[in-house]
Amino acid sequence: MNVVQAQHLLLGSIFAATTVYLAFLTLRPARRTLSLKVAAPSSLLLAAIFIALASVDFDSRRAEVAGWMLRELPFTLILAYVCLAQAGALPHRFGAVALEEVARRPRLEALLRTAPLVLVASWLLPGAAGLVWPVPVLRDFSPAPPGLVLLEWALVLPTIFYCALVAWLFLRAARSEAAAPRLRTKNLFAFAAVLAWLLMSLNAMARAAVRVWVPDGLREAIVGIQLAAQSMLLAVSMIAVALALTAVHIPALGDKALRAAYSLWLHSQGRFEARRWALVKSGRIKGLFRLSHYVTEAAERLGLQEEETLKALTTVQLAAILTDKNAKTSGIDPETAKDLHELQRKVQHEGSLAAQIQAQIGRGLSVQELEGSDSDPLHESLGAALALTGHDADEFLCAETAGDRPLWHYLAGLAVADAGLSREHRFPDVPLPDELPEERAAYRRALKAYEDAKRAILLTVEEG
Amino acid sequence: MILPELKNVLTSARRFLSSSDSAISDAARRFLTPEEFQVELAILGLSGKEFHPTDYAVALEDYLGLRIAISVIPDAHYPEIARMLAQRGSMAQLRYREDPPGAAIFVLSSLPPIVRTLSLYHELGHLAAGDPLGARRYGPAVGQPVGMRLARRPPLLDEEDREKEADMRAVYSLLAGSLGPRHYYAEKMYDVV
Repeated sequence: MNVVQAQHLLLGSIFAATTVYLAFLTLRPARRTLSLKVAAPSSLLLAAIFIALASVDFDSRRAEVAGWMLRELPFTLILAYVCLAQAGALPHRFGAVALEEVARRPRLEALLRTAPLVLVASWLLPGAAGLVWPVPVLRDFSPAPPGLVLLEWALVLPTIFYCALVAWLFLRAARSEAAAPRLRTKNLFAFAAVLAWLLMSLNAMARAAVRVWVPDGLREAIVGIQLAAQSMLLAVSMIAVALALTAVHIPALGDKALRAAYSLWLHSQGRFEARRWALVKSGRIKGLFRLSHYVTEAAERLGLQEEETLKALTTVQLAAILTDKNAKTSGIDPETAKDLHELQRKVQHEGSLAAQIQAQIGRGLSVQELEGSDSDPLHESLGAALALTGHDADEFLCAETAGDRPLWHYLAGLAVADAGLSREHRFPDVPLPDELPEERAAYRRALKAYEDAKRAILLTVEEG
Repeated sequence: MILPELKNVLTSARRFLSSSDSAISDAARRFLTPEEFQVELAILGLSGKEFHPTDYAVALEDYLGLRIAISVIPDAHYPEIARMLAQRGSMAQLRYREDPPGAAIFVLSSLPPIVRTLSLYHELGHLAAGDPLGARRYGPAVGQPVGMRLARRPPLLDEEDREKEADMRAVYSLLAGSLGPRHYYAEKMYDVV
């Protein structure tokens, strides 16, 4: 085995070791990314190629060029893959998104998208030329004709260009404060891997020049150093690749079903609320205006906060809509209400991000004229309305029997019962005993406030 | 785990979504995908940031080079306006202006927060997509389109599809703006390998 074969064996061993580690990484599903699925077989293929080259003593220069082409092809394809990944040009089923830096620069994206064509051409054309006019491309210590420089540089220059571009983009991503720390680390490792690759390419370029123009004696010494440097750089590159593929970031919304549920939730709630608003504002629900008036007045008497008043009003509106025969054609019925309520419950239970989304809804309009609060009372109100109207099989409530509820809930329940919308269609008119448990005392306060508010409004109307 | 239950909910919620559910399932084939929308946000400089409709409007304003005004109509003082619009099913209205180039979006103050936000994003989505005018579900768009767009693809041909896509943009915007750097697609922009 000559020195060049030994060099190939060493490089093949590095790829073999990398393959073993990457195979180990594939055992954990979270790390089984597309890049790992590409890297592991590529590493295996490169190990096989380098070991095969180590075991062959080429007696023909054309065979040598063919071996060189075979050795360089995986590198060409891997670099093209990385360029496409950065450009977000991989198939959509892999969830490919361009790097932010690339997304903001359409020309850069176009440049990255040309990488497969340019790189494959830069591999194919010198290879074809080498097969026609063969040169000793794999005999690193022997002198070579100037054709070797043309051959090697034609392959390496585009590689250097794309490596520099890709490395710069990884470095930008690693330095971005918008990225999660683990992603920044991952991009830093990716940068290190590509930088080592870039240096290997520069080394290969220089080696070709040394073989052509440096005299015997000195040439062997320089090439020996260059090959050692190449081995070290390859080892560094593979370690960085392994670390980059190990540093997997688990996104907060990584689950596809959960992402779909979030979108569905917002879409469904938006439609539901739009229909509720249209029904209420158009005056199609009979008696709702009067009931809302009672509830608002009673809430004032009870000293409820704006948000609680809004919850009570929304509950009354929903109860009126859910029991109104005319409203069914508008797209709001107990079935859709129950579906939405269930979806809200699941999303809020499953994802901690739901609260963050909820908090952001309605913000950002610095306008004083906005009515009511920016908070969204729908979930609680929907649950209360479904229960009060008897559409929630698990939790039927009427204001009188509901224990340990907030005041707004009692108030809404009383209004619903007063309007005959409750399943039991009754309004409490029996005097309650003086001694009551805490929750019954709250109910009695709500009842008194509601009755007083109603009486006052009716009196005002009569006087008017 | 609750995820299998969540999937059941998704199935059952299809009843509710009726027409627009098909829009979401068609997204990968015909409509704007979340990945494409994220690229648009990156172009606007909003990827990975928390933002509101007004921030989106300002960024779109800068990109398209036109003035976008958002006006909230205090309909509490004019209940007859709210009644009229509610009967028509109008939540917001978009108007274009030719000279100087601009657009105005009118939204009612009494809308529930989520409807107000989604309606604003819906109208801004039409601007981003460069949609031409036509009969509009959330109210008429009046005037002439400015002929510029953020979207890479030309507007969809079918009016109904354009409305569905604007709905999808609204939900994408709300999710991205609410979650900021924790949004899945914003994180994916730093996780390409």
